[in-house]
Amino acid sequence: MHKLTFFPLGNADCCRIDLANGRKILFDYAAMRDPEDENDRRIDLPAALREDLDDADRDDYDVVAFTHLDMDHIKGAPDFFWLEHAEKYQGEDRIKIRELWVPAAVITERGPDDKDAKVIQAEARHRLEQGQGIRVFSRPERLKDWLEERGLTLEDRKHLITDAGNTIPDFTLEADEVEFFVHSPFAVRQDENTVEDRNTDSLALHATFVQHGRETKVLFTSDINHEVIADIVRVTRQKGNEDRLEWDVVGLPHHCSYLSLGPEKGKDKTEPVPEVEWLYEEQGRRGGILVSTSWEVPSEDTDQPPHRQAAAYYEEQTDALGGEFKVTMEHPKASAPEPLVIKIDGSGAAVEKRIAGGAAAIVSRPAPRAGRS
Amino acid sequence: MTGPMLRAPGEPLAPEDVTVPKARALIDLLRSDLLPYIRCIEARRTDEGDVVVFEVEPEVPQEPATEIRRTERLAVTFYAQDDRMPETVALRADFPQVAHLNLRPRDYPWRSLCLYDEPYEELKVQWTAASYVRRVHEWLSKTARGELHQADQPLEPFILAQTIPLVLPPDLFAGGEKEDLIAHAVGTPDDFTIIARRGRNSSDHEVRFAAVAVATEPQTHGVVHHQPTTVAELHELLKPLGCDLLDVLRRRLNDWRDADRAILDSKLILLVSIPKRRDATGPVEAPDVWAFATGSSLREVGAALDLWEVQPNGTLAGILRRDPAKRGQNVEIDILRPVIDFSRESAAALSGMQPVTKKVVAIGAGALGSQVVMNLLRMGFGAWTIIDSDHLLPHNLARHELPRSAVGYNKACALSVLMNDLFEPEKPASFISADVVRNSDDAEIHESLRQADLILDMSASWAVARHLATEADGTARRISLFINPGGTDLVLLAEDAARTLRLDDLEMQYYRKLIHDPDLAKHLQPGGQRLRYAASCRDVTSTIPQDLVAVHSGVGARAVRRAVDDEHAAIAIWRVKEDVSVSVRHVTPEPVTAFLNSDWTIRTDAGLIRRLQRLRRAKLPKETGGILIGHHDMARRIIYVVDGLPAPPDSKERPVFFERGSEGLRQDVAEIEKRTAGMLTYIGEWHSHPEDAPPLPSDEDRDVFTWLRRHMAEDGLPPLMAIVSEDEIGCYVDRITAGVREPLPQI
Repeated sequence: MHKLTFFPLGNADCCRIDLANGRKILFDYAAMRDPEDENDRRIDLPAALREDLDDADRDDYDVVAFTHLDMDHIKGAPDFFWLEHAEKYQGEDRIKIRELWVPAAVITERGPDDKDAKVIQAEARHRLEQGQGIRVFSRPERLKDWLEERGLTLEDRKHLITDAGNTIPDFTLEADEVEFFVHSPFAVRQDENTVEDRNTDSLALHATFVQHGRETKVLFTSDINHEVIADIVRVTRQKGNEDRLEWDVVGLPHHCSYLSLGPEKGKDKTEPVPEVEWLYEEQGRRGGILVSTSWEVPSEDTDQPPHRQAAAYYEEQTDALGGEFKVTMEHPKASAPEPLVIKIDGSGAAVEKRIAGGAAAIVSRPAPRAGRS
Repeated sequence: MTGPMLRAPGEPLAPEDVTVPKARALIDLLRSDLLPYIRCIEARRTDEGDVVVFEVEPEVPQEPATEIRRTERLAVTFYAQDDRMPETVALRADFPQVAHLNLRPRDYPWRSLCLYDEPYEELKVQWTAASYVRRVHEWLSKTARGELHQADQPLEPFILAQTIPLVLPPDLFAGGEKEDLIAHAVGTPDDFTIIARRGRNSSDHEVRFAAVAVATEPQTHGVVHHQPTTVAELHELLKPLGCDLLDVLRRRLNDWRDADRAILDSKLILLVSIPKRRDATGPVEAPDVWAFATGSSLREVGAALDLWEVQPNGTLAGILRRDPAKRGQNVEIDILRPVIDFSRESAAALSGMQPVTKKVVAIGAGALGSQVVMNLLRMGFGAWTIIDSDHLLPHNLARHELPRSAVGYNKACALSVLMNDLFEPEKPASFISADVVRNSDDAEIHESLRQADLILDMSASWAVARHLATEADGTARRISLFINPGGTDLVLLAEDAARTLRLDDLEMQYYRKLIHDPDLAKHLQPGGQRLRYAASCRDVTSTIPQDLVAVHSGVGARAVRRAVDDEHAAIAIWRVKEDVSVSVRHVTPEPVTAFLNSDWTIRTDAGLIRRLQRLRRAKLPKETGGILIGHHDMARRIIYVVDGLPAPPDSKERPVFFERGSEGLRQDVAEIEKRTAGMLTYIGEWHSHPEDAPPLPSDEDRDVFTWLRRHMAEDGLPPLMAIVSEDEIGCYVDRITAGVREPLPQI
């Protein structure tokens, strides 16, 4: 069985993929919880990840992917991971990254403004310079100048670069029962961009998991907006790769923002642009699951995502499929969110629904302090 | 996702008015929002109790194995008396027919979930509303995945525990449909079990039931969805499964009428075997067996099936005009709970083991032997021959497997009767009433030992063990089990599978352990008092209590099973301590060396040789020595050399000679004899030769030997001298001129 785990982090992303063969992949890392605030319902991410690694008796991930350098995708990563570019990030208890996945913008972006982004960029650049432990997603030519500035050649680094429209060589259906297909970043966007926009240069992937002959397809969309989705849909259909946009599960873009569906928020429901409509209304399979990595959906209109109008659209689609629309901060209930686990086996995908025992819950976390205060 | 709903049982009730405590607890839990995936819909009330209607959100994959929905609505009735399992029913009208539904009559409107397989009385003790909710959620989630039948769980229908049990032979359907099964009831008229046996004369009891067995075509599970209440209904149920019940029944009844009219007064039992497979292509597994009893006699059933008419005087008359409408509509049937009789296979399965059909000869059906044998048989272990010449006397009953009704019978015979009564239909035991040593010429004993896969000595007699080790027939490995005189310790001596180490060798190494382990100093001391049970001076018995014998026979049975699975030799001593804990000491068996000298066989082992080599080296370049401890088997002319003591402190150890002192030696030998109950004693002398000197007797050695011969002759025993050099040991028995030199392994 493969497993996807989406962590309740408010409007922020971290999804762990546990493959049936034991390999572990992390998509983004954002330690959002405020340790000073005991009412913060967001999960203590480093603790949860460490517990899982301890259970597996490991101190590393096979892959950690940073889809882009926004704080809600990288926050706290320099405190958690063993980074190779500087000794100060190499403490004993840090978690190692066998292979780092980043879009080209992470390498080429000029002067990211916050500290964590700088550190991740430095790590990615270091690995690319060293020529190992990294995969960059881009049209290879885009990195040519950057490499040549450092006396390196594209030819020497080409094997570390994967362009959109290809599968990622590190995982195969034979060995891993999963295949990743790259949708973004892609050339159309980047050639036109002069200023690099992180969200449009985000990593977006399509995964095909296989268990007992059953294919389960998952779309990881990061923070892409409706224009980028429309571009992806057009290019993919043009190339006859429609099956790479079929889905059983979608990690929804940008924390359920209406801008990932269409330009207008709408009164009660966002109307998607035609390409996006095609993606959700034609490509979803029976019992499909949409996951919004966000705060709970508000009942009133808001500026910031999640937008209730977008949620209304998504919910309509999963109802039609007999599937489920899940919001990370609402699962299993808004008062006490827990990691959202999606099991993938021969019966397809299923949202894990377990009623845990009270004692089991008690012994799996520390007790409150006892004694006289 | 929900479909049309059935009306829930009872009438609406305000949730606040719910009074049945378990219903109250469930409502409170559901309304507390403590648990996810479950919510309260309404409360209701019936004549019998309070009803809670609730919705559950089970874990359902994209492609579920059964049509369980993402949301299911259920109703549970908690009875006011709380005297039976609360009834949980699905309210969705098209809730699927799945495994683990309770059998209900045809007109029952809902599907009834079979949530638990333990009786309600047990369940009640730990019942909480939360555990109930978890169980319902798990039932639905697993049913959605088709996983409620665990892979190792037999495909077995659940039938209410309170229905009447019917015990059936394990191989019931092996012989086809034609066999007669005659059954009788055991118990009181209100509370009984029906026991079925094969064949007409299998029972002296009054014949009360006669069974007709039918089998259907193989099915994937879940075909009996409601409880048939008449023969006609059962016939209709079986017809699509390829079984014409009425036809079979009519033929059998006619056969019986022709063959045996007396049987027509019995009541009819119907046995239906439904061979099952997990899916359409899977192998056929153990069948579901359904059993039904009629309240009618065969005579009445025949009339109801249009076979004959019953005259007012009870005789049968032929039918003039056939009435095809008579299909048993008025013959009511009650469901029985079929239980398969006890066999070797079920014995093993119930013990979590595989059946073992090794031929085992058990010698000694005493307190330990009888209990170890029964322990093993109850686990499906062994095809047994029991050998014992003794008869059961009343005092034996204090610690014996046999009952008082067996007093006076040969123990082996009575035990085999008990063993053969355990399984149906296999007879796992035979017996020989004889003594293996005194009747060693007995052809039957020879044959059984030759055929054996394992010879299990529980005679508590070293004479028997020695006989088995040396002279007795058969190549099977021997295992001895015995209890020490105090009753605190159990000893296991197990030969290796290839028999390179014999029981007698293991016995000696066990004695050596007794003299070196201070905790075992009293192991062979007589414990408790001896009790005289009859007049003769040999009529004394121990006072070991049954609880200790039971512990030892449990440990012993397990030790035998483990030893059989391990080809190596073993020596183990278990002790039941004062605080009733059991501890064990394992002694690693040492390889044995045997050599012939004069007409004596010397048997010693690597453990002793290493010890002598070590003592020699510690004193180099001086010579050293001491006395040898061992055992004489005069009948077989074997000297077991078991231990060598170091030089007493008043010895003279020089590079050119050794003069053994005697300080403390008498006390040491006395202690060894005491600890081993006289089995080990002084047997001779050893000394070392320095480097380069071969283990050949010097002139002085010859003088010592002469001295030795004179004194040993006073006991009628041969002198023995061992000389240890760097790489050889020389052994001289009886005559100094005829020694044997054995090369030593380098340590």
